[in-house]
Amino acid sequence: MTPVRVGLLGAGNVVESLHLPVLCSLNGVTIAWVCDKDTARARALASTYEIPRAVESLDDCVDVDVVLVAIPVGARRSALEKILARGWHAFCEKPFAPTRRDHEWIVAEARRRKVRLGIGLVRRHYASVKMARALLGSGVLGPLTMILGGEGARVRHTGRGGDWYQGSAQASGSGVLMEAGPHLVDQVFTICRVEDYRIDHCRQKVLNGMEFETSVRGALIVDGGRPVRFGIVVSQLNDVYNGIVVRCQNGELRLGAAPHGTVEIYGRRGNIAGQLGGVSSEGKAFSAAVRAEWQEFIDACARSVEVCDWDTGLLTTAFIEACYRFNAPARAEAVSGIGV
Amino acid sequence: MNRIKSGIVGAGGQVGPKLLSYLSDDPRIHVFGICRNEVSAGPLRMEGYEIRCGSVTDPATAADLLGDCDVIINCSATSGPPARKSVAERGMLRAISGLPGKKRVIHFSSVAVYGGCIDSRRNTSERPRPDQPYGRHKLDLERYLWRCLRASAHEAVVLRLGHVYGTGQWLSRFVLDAACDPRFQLPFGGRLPSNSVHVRNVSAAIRRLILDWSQPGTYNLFDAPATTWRQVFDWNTNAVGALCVPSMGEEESKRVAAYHRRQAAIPLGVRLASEITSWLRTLPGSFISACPTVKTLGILTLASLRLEGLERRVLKRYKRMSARADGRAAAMPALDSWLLSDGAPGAPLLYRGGEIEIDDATAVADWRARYAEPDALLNWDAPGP
Repeated sequence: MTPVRVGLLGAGNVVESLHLPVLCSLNGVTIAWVCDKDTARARALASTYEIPRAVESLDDCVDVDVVLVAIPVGARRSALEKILARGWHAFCEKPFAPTRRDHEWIVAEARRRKVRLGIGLVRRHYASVKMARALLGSGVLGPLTMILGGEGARVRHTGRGGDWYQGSAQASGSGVLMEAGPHLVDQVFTICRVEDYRIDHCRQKVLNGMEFETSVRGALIVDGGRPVRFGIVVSQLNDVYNGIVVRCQNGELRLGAAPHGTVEIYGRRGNIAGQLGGVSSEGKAFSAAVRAEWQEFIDACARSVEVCDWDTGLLTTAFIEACYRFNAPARAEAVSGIGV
Repeated sequence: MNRIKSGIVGAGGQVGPKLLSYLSDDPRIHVFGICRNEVSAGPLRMEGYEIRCGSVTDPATAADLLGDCDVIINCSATSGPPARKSVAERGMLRAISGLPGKKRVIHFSSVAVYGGCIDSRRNTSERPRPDQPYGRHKLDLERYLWRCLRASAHEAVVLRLGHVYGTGQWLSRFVLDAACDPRFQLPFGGRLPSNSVHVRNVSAAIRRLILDWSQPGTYNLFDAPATTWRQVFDWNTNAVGALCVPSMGEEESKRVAAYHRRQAAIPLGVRLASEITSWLRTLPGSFISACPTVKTLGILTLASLRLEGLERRVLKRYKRMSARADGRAAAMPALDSWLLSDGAPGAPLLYRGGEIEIDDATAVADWRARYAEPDALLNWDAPGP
């Protein structure tokens, strides 16, 4: 197997606690450098994981095959231009881009440079998500009638200081829907094989340009054009039902955000009929999902540089942008860090 | 009228928002909150509260944030790994102690300093016996605060908070989840003291302290009048229209309580030795499980030796080991030991407990509907806590 050299752009929590432990254990993968404007943090990470180089700028980085882009979405423009220009494949942590236009620009640029793109929507690789998708796809519960999704809670302990990027509307992309929403939205879209959406109502609670809660209703288009009612809430203001509920003609299934969670099946009368999955520990299940995500991307880079909309989660980006535009059409321009 | 300026450190936590809400209604008090970043400050600012953002750990910024306060209420709790937490929280206490002027500090500790299952024969207020990392950490902070204040003009009241219940509080969530679990039974019918406090009573006590300062010292903070577990559980289940949780029988309750008391009384070193011994006993079995080849060799050896007596003894020992492990697991119902506590020792803070109003029960019902019922997602119109 051809060795794969990986560079890390960003030395934050998500790199240290989620990606690095997995990357270090993948056969044939070597970490060539870690790049972060906070050089102390980059050096600390490099020291812990025996990464040969810790640098402040991409200009100082040696060639690699793949770059993990794990910097705030509002700060990615110039970095992605350099990465794609050097012919490196890019695996981006969610959210992929703040707007559909930005998203399409990145994809077009990657195609022009003939490099592969990936997105860190790890829940696609959860056993429960695959199981739920297969169950719904089998038709055993009948056609879908309603889809509900919720995530979040009243924000209490963040454990972060004043320089946390999520406190900046520009850096974070504007709020909880952009920060936490992609996982939930993509999870719903994956399980239900959503083709398109229609937003009838979207209410957001915003303060100083930061959105703290979004509740959105409308219809998701499935099964070749059939609309199904949906309701999604993402919040940092209130404790919310955390999970996904898919109601079908013959029953209902429920699952949560946990990587080791079960899929619960309910009968038509609301009685629980059974549970599937959920045997391993949370840590093991999450590691397995991240590993699957990386393996899939590395294999895909070796096969082809063509990406489809699914590979980068374009529908998820478009949906999230549509929610923001529903309330403030000019907002999308304000946070976009990438122009055409 | 000169209002008493009061700053709440950790305003974005579990109890902080309720304190802000309650104290803001009193015209004699000017209250504001401190949050570390804009994300935790946002929800509170949306609710109309005055919030200052910054780190109290840094003495320079602590002076900016709290320098003009008369009273500082520290209900913060840092998250993260243990060493980082300890360093951060000690830094905070040091910075507060070093503020200029003479201030009154109300520091939130926890009833956990007395241990998980409080045994009044072994615990006193002066010498509490925590048996869990959280309780030890809280006791360490109490002692550190008193040491810091020796060189300071400030006065302090340390409140060992009971288990807090009410809207948004972990104990209410625990109770409401337990009410949905058909296996859950309340020990001794719930007649044991709960060592709990409704979040409205926490607020009432703090208001009383601000307006009528107590003798500096350490006090327990519980419901006034004190409540039993049955009262706490029933208040929560009534709020959401659920059935009361069933009671555990008296004999079973005594057996479970005796077990937890015995466990709580075992010193850490003895527990460690016991666990290592148990682990050593499982080594042969786990070695065989981990090395299937050993098991195969064992079977082949027994078959070739044709010693039925030896084979019977080996199988008997193996079955006895397995049965012992299963039996131990099934012996005790899974139950949180704090449900079996005695009343905590030491002086309670005296205050006039609020009538826990209908509004509080309605708020619990609304809160529960939002986090427990998926249909709430379709008709989401959250009015806020």
